[in-house]
Amino acid sequence: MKILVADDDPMARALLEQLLRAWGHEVTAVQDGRAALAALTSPEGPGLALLDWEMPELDGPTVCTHLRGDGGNGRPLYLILLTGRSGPGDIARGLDAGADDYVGKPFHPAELRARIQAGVRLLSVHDALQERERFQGALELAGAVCHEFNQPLQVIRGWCDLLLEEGPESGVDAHALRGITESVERLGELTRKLMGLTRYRAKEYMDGRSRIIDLAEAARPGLHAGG
Amino acid sequence: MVERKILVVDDEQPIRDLFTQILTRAGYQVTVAESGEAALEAMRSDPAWVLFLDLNLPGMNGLELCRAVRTSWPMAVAHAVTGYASLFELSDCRAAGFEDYFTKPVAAAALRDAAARAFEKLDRWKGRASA
Repeated sequence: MKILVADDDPMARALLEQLLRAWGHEVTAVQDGRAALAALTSPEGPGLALLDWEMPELDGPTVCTHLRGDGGNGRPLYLILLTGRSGPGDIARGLDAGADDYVGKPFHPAELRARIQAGVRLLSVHDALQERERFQGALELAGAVCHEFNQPLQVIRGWCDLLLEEGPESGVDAHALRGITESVERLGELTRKLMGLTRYRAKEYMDGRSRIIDLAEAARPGLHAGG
Repeated sequence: MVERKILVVDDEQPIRDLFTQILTRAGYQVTVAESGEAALEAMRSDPAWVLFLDLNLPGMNGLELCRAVRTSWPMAVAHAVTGYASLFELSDCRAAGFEDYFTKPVAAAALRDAAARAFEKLDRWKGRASA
């Protein structure tokens, strides 16, 4: 997990970096609120942040407020405030500013680790949900494509069948018509595969970031063949 | 023998024209409707024994239409013809009273076979009722 550490105290920063790396995370460390905001709004930036309350430029709660307001870029973020302030009023203020959680200083490593894990879990649920939404969108698109393709395919296929019935004396080119019919069948098979999409089998495509649905993997046979 | 009357319901004119041609050339009397509401109107004025219904209709959808037809004309044999199979589950189609289910593009022969089977069944039922 990519994690941002924002703390103006070099000792605290070093300790957090060391712990997080030992727990297997990838760490970016900054020393003020403005740098934290920049890191968290970059598209490939960390998804989880440990923000010290007291920092130069922007303090922790202000960074949270910015990210939850117009300053965020819509990317899901899990924000944990770190501070020696532990009054109920402070905790409420930090959470109201947009933090997801709060860890008092001096922190206990086991507690910090558990709270980070809670954040990781929440972010992965968020990812799964987003993936499902994308899949749903793909299915809806597939449905619309099937319908829009199959109507004209039906008209082409049907009239070819009728022309073929007229026989050689009518002068129709049976060979050409069979070629058209076979092509329509191929397209029809493709739309049946699309309709059969029941699960998301995506394969990496091009740059590895975009994904396309792997039709061959995802398809199951249609209910009725047209021929 | 029951009258060879078929009703074709589809919201797209080219499909209605095509199915009419396919079925009239096989000797059936075909009427068409572009919506569920128009289909029920057509059934009331001149009932058909066999129907081919598009599922994705504006207004009343194909399943609702099939249920309504089967309630008022329980002997009618209805077939679903759809451009998008996953729109409704096959089990929903059976529950609504559809005899069979086709995805477009469907071959002319497949439509005629379905019509022939339906009329054969209807004749058998009618023979039993009058025997």
